[in-house]
Amino acid sequence: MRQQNIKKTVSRGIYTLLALVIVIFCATGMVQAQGVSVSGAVSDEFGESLPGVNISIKGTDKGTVSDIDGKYTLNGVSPNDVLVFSFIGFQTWEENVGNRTVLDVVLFEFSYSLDETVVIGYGSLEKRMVTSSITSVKADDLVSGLGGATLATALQGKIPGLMISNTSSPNSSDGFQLRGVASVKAGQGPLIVIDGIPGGDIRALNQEDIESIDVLKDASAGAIYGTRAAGGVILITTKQAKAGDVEVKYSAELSMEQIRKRPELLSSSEYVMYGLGTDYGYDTDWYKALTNDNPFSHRHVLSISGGSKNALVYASLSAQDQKGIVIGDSRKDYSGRMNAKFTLHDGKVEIQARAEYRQAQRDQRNGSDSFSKAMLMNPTIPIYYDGNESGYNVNEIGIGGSTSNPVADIKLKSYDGKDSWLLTDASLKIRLTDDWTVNGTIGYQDSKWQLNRYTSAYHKSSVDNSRRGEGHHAFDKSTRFSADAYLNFRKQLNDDHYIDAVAGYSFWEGNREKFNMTNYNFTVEGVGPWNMGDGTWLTDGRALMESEKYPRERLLSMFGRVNYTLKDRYLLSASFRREGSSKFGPNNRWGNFWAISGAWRMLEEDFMKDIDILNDLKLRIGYGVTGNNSFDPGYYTRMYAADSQMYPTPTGQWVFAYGPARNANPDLKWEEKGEFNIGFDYALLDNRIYGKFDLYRRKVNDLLYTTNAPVPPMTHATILKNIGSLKNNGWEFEIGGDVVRHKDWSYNTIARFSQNKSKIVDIGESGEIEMGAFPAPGNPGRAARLTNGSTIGQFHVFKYAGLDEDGKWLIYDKNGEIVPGNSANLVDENKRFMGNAMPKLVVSWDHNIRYKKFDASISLRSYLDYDVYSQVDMYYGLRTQSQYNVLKQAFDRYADIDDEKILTNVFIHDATFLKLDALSVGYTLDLKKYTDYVSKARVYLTARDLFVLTKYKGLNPEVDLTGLFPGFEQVNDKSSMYPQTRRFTLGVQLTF
Amino acid sequence: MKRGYNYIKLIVLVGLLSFNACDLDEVHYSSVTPGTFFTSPENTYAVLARPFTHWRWFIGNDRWYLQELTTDAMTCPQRGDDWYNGGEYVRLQEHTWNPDDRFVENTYNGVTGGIARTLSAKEDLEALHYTTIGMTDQDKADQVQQLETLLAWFYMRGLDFFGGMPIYDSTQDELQPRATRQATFDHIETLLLKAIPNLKVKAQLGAFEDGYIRRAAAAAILAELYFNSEAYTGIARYNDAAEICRDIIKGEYGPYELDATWWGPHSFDNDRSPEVLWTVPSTYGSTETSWHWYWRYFYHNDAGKYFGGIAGYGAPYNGFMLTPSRKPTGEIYTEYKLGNSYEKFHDLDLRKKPYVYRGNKTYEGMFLVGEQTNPITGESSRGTKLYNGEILNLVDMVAPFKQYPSTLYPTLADLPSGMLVGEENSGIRLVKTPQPNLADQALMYEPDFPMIRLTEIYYMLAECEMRAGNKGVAADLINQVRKRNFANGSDPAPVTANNLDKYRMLDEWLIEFLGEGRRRTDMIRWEVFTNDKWWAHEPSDVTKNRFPIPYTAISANPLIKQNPGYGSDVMDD
Repeated sequence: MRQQNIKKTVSRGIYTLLALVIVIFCATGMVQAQGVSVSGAVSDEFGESLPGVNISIKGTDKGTVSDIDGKYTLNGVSPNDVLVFSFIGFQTWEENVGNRTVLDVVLFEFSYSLDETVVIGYGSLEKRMVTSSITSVKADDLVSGLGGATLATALQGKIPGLMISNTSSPNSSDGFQLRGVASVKAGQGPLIVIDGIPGGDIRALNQEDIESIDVLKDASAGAIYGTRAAGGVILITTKQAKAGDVEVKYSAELSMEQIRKRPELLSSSEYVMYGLGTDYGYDTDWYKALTNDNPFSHRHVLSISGGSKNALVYASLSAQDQKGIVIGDSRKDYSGRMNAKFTLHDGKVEIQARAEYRQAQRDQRNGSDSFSKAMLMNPTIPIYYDGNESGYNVNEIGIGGSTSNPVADIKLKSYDGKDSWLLTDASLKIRLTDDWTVNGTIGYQDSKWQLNRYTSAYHKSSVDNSRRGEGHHAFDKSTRFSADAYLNFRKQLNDDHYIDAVAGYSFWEGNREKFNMTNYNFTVEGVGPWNMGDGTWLTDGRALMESEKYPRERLLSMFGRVNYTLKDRYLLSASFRREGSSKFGPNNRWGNFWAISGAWRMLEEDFMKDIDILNDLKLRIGYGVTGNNSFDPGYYTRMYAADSQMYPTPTGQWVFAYGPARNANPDLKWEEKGEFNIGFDYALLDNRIYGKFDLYRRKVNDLLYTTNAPVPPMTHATILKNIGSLKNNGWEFEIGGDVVRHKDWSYNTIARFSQNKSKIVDIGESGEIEMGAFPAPGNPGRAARLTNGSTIGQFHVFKYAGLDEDGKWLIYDKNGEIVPGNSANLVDENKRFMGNAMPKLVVSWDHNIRYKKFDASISLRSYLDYDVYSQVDMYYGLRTQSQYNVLKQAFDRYADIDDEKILTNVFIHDATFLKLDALSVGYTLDLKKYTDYVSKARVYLTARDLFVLTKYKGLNPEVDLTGLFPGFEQVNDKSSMYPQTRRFTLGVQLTF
Repeated sequence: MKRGYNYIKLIVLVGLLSFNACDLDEVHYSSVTPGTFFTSPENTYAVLARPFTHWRWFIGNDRWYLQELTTDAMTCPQRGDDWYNGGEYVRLQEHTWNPDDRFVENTYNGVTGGIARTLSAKEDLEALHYTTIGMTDQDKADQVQQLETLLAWFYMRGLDFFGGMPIYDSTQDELQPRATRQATFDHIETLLLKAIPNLKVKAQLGAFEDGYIRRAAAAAILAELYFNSEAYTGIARYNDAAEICRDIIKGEYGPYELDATWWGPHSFDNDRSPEVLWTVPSTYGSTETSWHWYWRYFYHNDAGKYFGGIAGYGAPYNGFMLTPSRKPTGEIYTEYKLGNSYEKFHDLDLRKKPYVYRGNKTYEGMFLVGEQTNPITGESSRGTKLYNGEILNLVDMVAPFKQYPSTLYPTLADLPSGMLVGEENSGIRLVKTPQPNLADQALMYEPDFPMIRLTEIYYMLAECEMRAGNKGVAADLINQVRKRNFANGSDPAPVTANNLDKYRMLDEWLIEFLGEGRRRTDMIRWEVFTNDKWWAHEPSDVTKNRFPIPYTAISANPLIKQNPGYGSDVMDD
């Protein structure tokens, strides 16, 4: 009954939302502007002057062009004339002159423009020519001041079908998933291509350096990237300077954070009152002790760009200092980028070179279990103890053995980790003739991780082992080299035929090496890990040292693509890539990936010409095949590797034992994804309403997955193999509108809807995949299972049937009978599939409002009708024998339960939520009048994650929904246990 | 345009260079292929050792828990906020484990991983021409047959824990369903009968035991198989077991004899004890070489002080203890014939003393019991939880003494005893493997674990003789061992033909092999594991003599069927 009510509420919510969207979009076009004169200035809606605007008198060939400051003068204009202002990418504007002599005009950039360039991989196209599903995001559309670990925070909700999982930690790692789970193996995420170099790391980039982001969603677009495109492709283009005066921009941001929601645990007095465990007499809020009050972060970016027509340089520098809400969680970044572009021989030769270095210094002393420890700790145990040299209660009151003080654990360590990235590339482009161009690009990327950690002599791990401190160094380096060369042919054959073709080859090599060392028992505490040889465990033969170099990985491919346009109306695109990977055995190395897509610009047809309100209507259809090989190298050959254990030879000499490194699989082959996409793009009412719709069906064959291996005959418990196939269906719909365009104010909005459903078609001989076991304490088992035909996102649990008079579980057995939830009945055959972790609808809705110099934006996001299994509820919500602290609900909602936790649907909750991702308000000041040095200043205030409306009963409804087993709020995972925060940023951007 | 051609040349050049590098073979750096691995005799031992390192890991932890914490000998009650762990140790004691319990899963994976690793090493060594690296064909036969023996041993553990196992002869075999218990038994027997004559024989009495398998050890494994045959297959083979035991004692499989002292087989130099047939090698150094899993699980986290200042690998967790002999009032339990581990030792037994290290590899006693103050250093182990700051006083009882007296528990007799009411000081701890003091810290991991020792052969033979009705012979065999446990070899309570019954035999196994990881097998052989009761255990169900097959194993090989008692789709063997 209750379930039905929720559904009703949800569907009512959906309809209300849709109705609201429709009302807003219908309001479009009702507002118009007026005015009159003969000289004036042309600017965009942000007050930026627009040089090069054509100004003409309607019906004549009389006209002029605005100068560098956007100023113009036009003589001989009569009051009855109409002035026409036109500029590429901007809406053409007409003004009746009337009796005005000064006529300042504001031109509006199109939210939707057919002339916009879309990056498609090994080239670019005008938007009108695109035949597949591509979403483009301009840097201007990303809200400033959101902070976060990477620019993923700003991308959240901007691309329909793209799910991003991250936390508010400055050291968060982001998970991406496009259009549902594309592969069951790790590496389901899309391929990131930065300035044409595949395999980039998004963490290296600054939001300010980005020009545009283009997401190739369907396989017909991605197939040109072959093997790595199964999860989609994200193409990131960094900024390039424009010819003209040197422009200097500086922006500074100050941020502050606060906890938005915290778990309600029993206080010390409640803990004692309920008699949960020993009363040590203190009052500690462990959760609070792990967090900072209002941590303060700041960020600075300086960019300089300029140059002449033949030499353009863009350079930027940034520095930031971010403090997380959690103690021992912070990050300092420095980065520099230089993008240069040179043109030689009258534009026949173009050379581009880009380089970026970034380093992120991370303090990550908190562990993934810091919060689960803090939640479980008896609140009567003190944090501090004077009797200990460190001042912390390390091994004294209520602490010892496997119990440790999570605050002391962080405070008595130092952690200096440094991520650094070097991204470089150079490309050469030669226009051989008007039709033929040849391109060559080489890229080199180097990413390093270096960690120096010291654990104090007073830390529990040192005390427990009677050693004075632990020093640790770790180093991990990956390098990637790529070289691409391709030939491009473009020709308008006659009025009807246009061909754009590209063919080339690509080479890619990756290498990775790492080492680490650990020593213990140092003479001097003060030098930290900087005198590793001093620790006595080295001479005792107990220090640790490890090094590894991964097998070399290579990819080699030839590719080609043809785009053909007939009468600017019928578009056809076909691509092919043949790619070989060193990760597969010689017989399975090469794969062929191809795509074909077409589009019909219906608007150009005669029968559509009369429909005035339509500005664009394009039908698209495509099919493509992409591959996936994202797993570590070294799987196809049977290899020996040293065990971690030593054993003596008969002569008493200890040697490392050697055995098979893993289960080798010489039959490994490409995972292949076939994707069919059909959709349309539309624009109407003078391009004021626009959007697109896409419907897709994907099938992934020969899924690569690390599955349970039968041992014997295998030697290891898991094996990577091609197991079966998976199906993935969904749709995406986007509607945007420039609702109000007025000199003084404007309002535009865009709403995005998507839905996805993934199903296992076949998973091979074993017939099932189980999720990993739930964590200790206890062995509750596994709560999700995939079998042939099962839907991803279902939970596999016992069905709750109430409690007996002692508060013990009752469950339904497989025959539907009510039986006690004891070990005799807690067998898999009594579990059933319940719940659904995939949202019925994912909605995001952005608003941009401008009033004169004020601007504001709002980003809302909602996942509707889905379930989350809350481990938080299950592990901390029930009173047990354990004497651990519990959530207040143990004596409230779950007061009747007096039993050990079991896997039941009691812990599955509806998680529908509405979140205010971002709210930003800004004011732009024109300073030219006041000073020669600063032309413009913009001040803004941005709030991130201001509120979440939900009835969800766990901590955070926005759990990881990517991968094969989505929908778990996990207790041993930082991503679900990290505190949810609100973040406020005050920023200023100065243009010099 | 000429310059343009130069650029094209450049591009072509870069292209050619790249294509030159178009070799798509994997290049390996940190690992080697078996084909290039063998260059010296040491390499064969490195490969031979791999299943042995697995075996060394196998002996401890989960496998040990299933053999000991499910029985009347040892247990792990909850102590305040420690050791509840979602009730997993309670489930062991109450026999209510399920297929998802990690102990069960880790044990199954341990058995099957052992079999697979042994098969894999055997195949690689069989394919090698030993003469090319300066070894003989006899060396090869010995190494291969050691692996056959180890294979048999892992299969026997599987049979013991789970019943019939899927039988594989090679890592290239097709997936197999579980064989019947009889077929598994027969396979083990075949492997051992073939291996025994090919194995090397120990050269001299008291020679160094290096961890590898000699002929006597393989024979002992075969004897163990016959000894438990009735429990495994329903067919008693005690006579066959007895015959092998007699031959081993006679020296037909090499020179061995009983150690003169009770501590000899367990002490710092036990790899030279004349009693040891097969040992788990251990030495001080990094964790890769030592046998020390018990340290964290047996002792209190401040126990290092009592031991004379040593520190092990991490803080001990204050866990496993002897099943208590006494009620909260101090009276010894008389309700049960089983259990009472500490009080089963005679008061004059040299082992029934607090453990004290006397220096120079000498020590006395086998338990942590009573006040934890080291008599030599005067240092004490103190509590950190409910007994915060107090000197620990380990008692042979499990009860919430800190809540006494109270309105809930006005008298001692009101105090409950059970799996959920333990405290920091509950229970006596076993120190079978001696711990040195700080000065001798380097000796800490010198003691090996004696996997098979001659005493076991004596006891097996004794039980066989007893079952054959020769109680006098049986008593004599046991007494030969017992006397070393008493001053001047004078045993105040020897076994006699009259007092030797099922429970006395079980008691003798208990006290001699306490904590050595075999109790459950002995109890099943005497049919008391699920039928009898002891301290915190009520009789369970006969299906609990076997553990369930974990779901992960069934999902990896759908031919595998579950054991009865754990669901409906079961193997009818």
